[in-house]
Amino acid sequence: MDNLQLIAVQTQRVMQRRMETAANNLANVTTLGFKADALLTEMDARAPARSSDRPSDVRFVRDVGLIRDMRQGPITRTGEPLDIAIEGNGFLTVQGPEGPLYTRAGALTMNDAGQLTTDAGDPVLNAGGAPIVFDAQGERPQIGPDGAITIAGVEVGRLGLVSFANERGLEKVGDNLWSPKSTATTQFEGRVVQGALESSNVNPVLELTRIIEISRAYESAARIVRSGDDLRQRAIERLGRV
Amino acid sequence: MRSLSIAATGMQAQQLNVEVISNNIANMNTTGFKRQRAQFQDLLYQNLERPGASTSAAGTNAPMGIQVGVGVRAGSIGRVTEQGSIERTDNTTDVAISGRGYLQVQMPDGSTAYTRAGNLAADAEGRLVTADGFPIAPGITVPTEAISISISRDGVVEATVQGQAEPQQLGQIELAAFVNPAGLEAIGDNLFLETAASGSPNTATPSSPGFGTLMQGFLETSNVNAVEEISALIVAQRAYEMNAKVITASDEMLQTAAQVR
Repeated sequence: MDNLQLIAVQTQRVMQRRMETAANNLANVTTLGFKADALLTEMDARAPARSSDRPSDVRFVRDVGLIRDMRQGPITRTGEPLDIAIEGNGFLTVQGPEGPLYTRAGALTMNDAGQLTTDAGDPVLNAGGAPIVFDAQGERPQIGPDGAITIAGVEVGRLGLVSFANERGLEKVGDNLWSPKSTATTQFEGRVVQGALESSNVNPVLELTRIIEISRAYESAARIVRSGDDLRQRAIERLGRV
Repeated sequence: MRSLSIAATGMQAQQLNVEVISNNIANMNTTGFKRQRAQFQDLLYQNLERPGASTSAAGTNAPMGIQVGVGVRAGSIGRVTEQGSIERTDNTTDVAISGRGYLQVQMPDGSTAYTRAGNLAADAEGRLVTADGFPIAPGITVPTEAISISISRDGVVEATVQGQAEPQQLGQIELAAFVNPAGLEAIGDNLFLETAASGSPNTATPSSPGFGTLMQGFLETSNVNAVEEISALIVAQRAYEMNAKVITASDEMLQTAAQVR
């Protein structure tokens, strides 16, 4: 195969991956605290497509990384004492199997030990890194903007809230959880809103236009493959006649 | 083509969402009903390229990797326990709870259930029972010769009996409150059971600090807001359509690929 086809095939491969990212965004249009992803593509500087004739700057496209849209999702009021939305940068700390994980999905509940957990059942940690335990018969907890938990006017603990210097270094691990792969936590910069939840920040209109654009780009790449094929076929026919 | 199955998970999620919303709308006129909401979680992510992967021979690294998510799943269905509006009925055995707390109901198997539906009535033996005939706890028996009964804001039940000037005290209604009322398990018939997520009940007389007050002659309607539910239904339906669009677009891409030659 010559360059024309190889480049078109690589374009199709990247488009397929972009489609997957857009599909995941749209599937999570109602997921609490979800942040949209977009695929970052560039010309591949490492492996220029070889071309025997000029121009020589024919290059492949490749996907280099994700752009994570960390913008605030809309906050909706629910009035539940254990629903928490974070306004601004920041995450709740959750106990994961191997060290702390982070989430912005604040629909919290309690387990049979009275521990505050996410709706998936993972314990939410306090500022000291220990699970938060409520007296199962106690009063309704009040949670302040700084994450301080007070019950009947007495401060009983503080939510483990963190921000990240580089939020893009976080990796999603599913179940609305994030893993701090290559970034360090910093002082919490956001604000906690009790009785509210943060919705997904996916912009459905944007994603739908993206999907149309992707499938058209995929089609035109397929057309390039076909016309490259036609070209070669014609060349073989003509050369055969000579 | 992963996007096909990703969009399918999205459609399943929205289907559940529509089911929850339709149950809310169906119970719009159910006394003491608390609306529900579906909560979703993203599924696993596949790391196609890890952050920190090398990008050149000179030792430069990708600051962030490529993760492709594989869709969404239903995490849980939560209940929104905010107060419903209070409606006047003028029925002397109707009580609405304004504020926090549940009426305790004695179930036939001896366990205790909790309800906010205060449409009580006296049964053949004079006991105050719920609409399904389960007595409330602690039990209150209305004498047959009573002309009228009154229930005070703090839950004291009194009856005026023919020929007696002073009203006769029948008992005290107690409320049970929970740390996390959203964690209660609904068993139908407007009844709830205590669970690990709700915490154990904390009982007190109505109007105590942190508890609601009783209002005789009123009922609490459901807290379903029709406008809110219809708009949620529209959002869910459109989200379903958008996921279907992804399937169509992915299908077109596959078709294009198949027709190359």
